[in-house]
Amino acid sequence: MNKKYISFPVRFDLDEDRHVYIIKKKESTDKPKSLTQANSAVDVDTSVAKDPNFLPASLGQTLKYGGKELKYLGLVQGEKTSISRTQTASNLTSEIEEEMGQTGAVCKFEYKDTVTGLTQKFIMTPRYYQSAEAKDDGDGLYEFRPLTGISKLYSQVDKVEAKEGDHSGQFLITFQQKEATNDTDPENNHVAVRRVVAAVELSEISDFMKFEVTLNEIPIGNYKGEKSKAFFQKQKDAERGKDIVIDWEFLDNFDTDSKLWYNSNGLDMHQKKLWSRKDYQVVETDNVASNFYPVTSAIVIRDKNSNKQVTIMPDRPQSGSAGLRGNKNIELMQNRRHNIND
Amino acid sequence: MQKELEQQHGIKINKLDSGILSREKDDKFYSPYGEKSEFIVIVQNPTDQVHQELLELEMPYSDFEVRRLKADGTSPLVAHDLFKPTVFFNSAK
Repeated sequence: MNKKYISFPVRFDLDEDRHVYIIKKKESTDKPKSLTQANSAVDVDTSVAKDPNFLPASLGQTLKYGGKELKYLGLVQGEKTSISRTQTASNLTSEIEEEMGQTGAVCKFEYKDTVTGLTQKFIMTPRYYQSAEAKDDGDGLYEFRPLTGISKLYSQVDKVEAKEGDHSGQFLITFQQKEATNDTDPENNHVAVRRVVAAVELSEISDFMKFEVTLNEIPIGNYKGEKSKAFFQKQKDAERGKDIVIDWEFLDNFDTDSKLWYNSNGLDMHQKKLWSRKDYQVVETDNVASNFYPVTSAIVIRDKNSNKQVTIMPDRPQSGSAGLRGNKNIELMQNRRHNIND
Repeated sequence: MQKELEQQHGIKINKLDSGILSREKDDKFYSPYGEKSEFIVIVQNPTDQVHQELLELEMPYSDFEVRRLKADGTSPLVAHDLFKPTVFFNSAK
């Protein structure tokens, strides 16, 4: 069945708390003509609704709705994660250092507020922390314990599409990853797996930019029976547990100054500084989990060099942190999957 | 609300349906409103304040018109966008 979905803005005034809409099926091509003629005294909207299908986004394509603009700046190669902290040498092998260089195509956008003239470029990517799988003291349902404290790109951008309606417009970003089907010759034997789809929406009635991120199944190994910590350490990256975060990286020399604001109880905002506690001296380790805080309704970062502030409001409480990748990002934990539980 | 509709617009409501989702029958999706030629959608302000919301609806017809019934008796056509719901984005194609 060819189903149709429509959307339109509803504006409630103080004296009108409900609206009534009548949806009428058009019987044939002849009848509606007389209908529209009969009703032409009322303001008739003759505009045709635009195609619901997404078309490939062109470079520099801009969505403009309600004093906000979102410009697509094209695909770029993701930056290599640099080590900005003193790493505990135990975990940082040369192998991990190499993996940190794993980048892929990411897409860049520019947000502009036409009222204030404020602009901000950003990159949104799904990233993951490799889980430290071990019985009792590893990553699991109870505890978030990443292996290295450095997030890696989960999947790269396959395509960016756009759709412009009368009231709202969307960019649809599809992230996919090549998965090898043959271990001996992975270059020629692989399938592209769609991992993440993100819809970035601007609408004339909303003050926000809306991100709708949908994650597909997280790939892990299919092991039977209880395995040891040493066993998991030998496995390939794709088969080990993952903690997926959605990462917003802010460009234009954004500097959070290692500070973030969040609200854990949904009441007021609290300020935190990375790797610091009021009560005692924190030693920087690989365990970035100590910088993740419960984000009930908002997480905020502010730019040290300007008066910019970025607020991300999740639609459900999530775990979040900011500034772990070069003091210019916000990350929110979206999904986790592990081979064993703690 | 039912009284109000009857008094203001002369519409008598027998049954209220909280959603117009399609149902599955014999591996085929159908809408209970597909056989009828029109239906009413009532949108209630969820707050006590002046409020704006983007309403998203699934249509049982392929060719249709949407009109807003106003208290002054007029029923202007409503300009709407077509969209694809996000559940389809990740479907394996």
